[in-house]
Amino acid sequence: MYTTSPHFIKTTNLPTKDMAPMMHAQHHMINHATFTIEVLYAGLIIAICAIIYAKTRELYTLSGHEGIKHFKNTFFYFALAYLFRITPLILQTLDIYPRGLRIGYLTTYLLFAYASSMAILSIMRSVSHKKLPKGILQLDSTYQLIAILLATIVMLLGSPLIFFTTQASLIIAAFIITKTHHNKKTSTTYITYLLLLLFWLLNIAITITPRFLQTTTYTLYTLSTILFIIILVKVIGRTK
Amino acid sequence: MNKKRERLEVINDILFIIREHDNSIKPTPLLRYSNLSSQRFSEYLKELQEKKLIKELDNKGRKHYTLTDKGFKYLEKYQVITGFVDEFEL
Repeated sequence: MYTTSPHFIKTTNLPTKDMAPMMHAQHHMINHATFTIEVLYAGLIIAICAIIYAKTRELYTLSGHEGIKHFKNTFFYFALAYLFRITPLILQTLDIYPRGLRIGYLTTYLLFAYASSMAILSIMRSVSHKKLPKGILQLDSTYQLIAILLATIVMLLGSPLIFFTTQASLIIAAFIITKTHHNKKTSTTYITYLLLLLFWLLNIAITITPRFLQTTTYTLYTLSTILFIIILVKVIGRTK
Repeated sequence: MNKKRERLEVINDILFIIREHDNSIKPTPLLRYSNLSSQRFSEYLKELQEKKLIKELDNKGRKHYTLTDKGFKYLEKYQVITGFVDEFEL
């Protein structure tokens, strides 16, 4: 689909203003159909996440329930992650080159990594908040720090592989902790959370690696969208 | 043996008691009806006031508690909240 990574480029190869004409030519290889699908996909997921967040926010305001808090935060951070995932592509394709191009890309990369980490950690906390030991593991600031640290490491090293590895490690840790603390081992809800994490990991892989899953990208996008829609329908059904 | 009540259920019980007493009840009967230890009762009362689900009124030196609009809404939405928590296993 892309001859180079559609979204992120290693910091050593970041484009400068002098390279703008080259970038322009290169990104016309990303045809309109592909660009439209990418933007529609991101836009749809962001909209679904925003609705889920809004619907669950009232429940949290009333109840102060920790699980609901982390559940709504999950979709808040997923919305941010999908937004920062698509931003570089939009900027490149529309030939918008902000001043300080390198800084702009690095910042987006940092925010993408941060939002992704927080989304994963929020899912884990929503399911296992009751069973986590009291103290430092119950503090919001602990998880914010972990996400910021991971994002900073990823940005400084500038390696897509490091980014993928850190997110995969986080997802595996979340899966293990969730499985350990989960009461009903094979419930559909648990499987939904698992698929959400797995699809997100595949989305990251597609974002950072040009030809990864090239032929099945649209299938993944469709399945991801269906999953988010299923969650949205459940949320709407339960918040009437 | 009764299982331990979850936090949401305890809050619901306290708010329900206040509403059932014409939305005005003194601390001592509230403690008695809530079936909580005095320490836990004080903790919950503090939380309910901080979250603005109840308010404390003073009528000629006699303290009593009433529900706020938010407190009424909690009672209305309690089943929705617990249903949501159960559905998503939170």
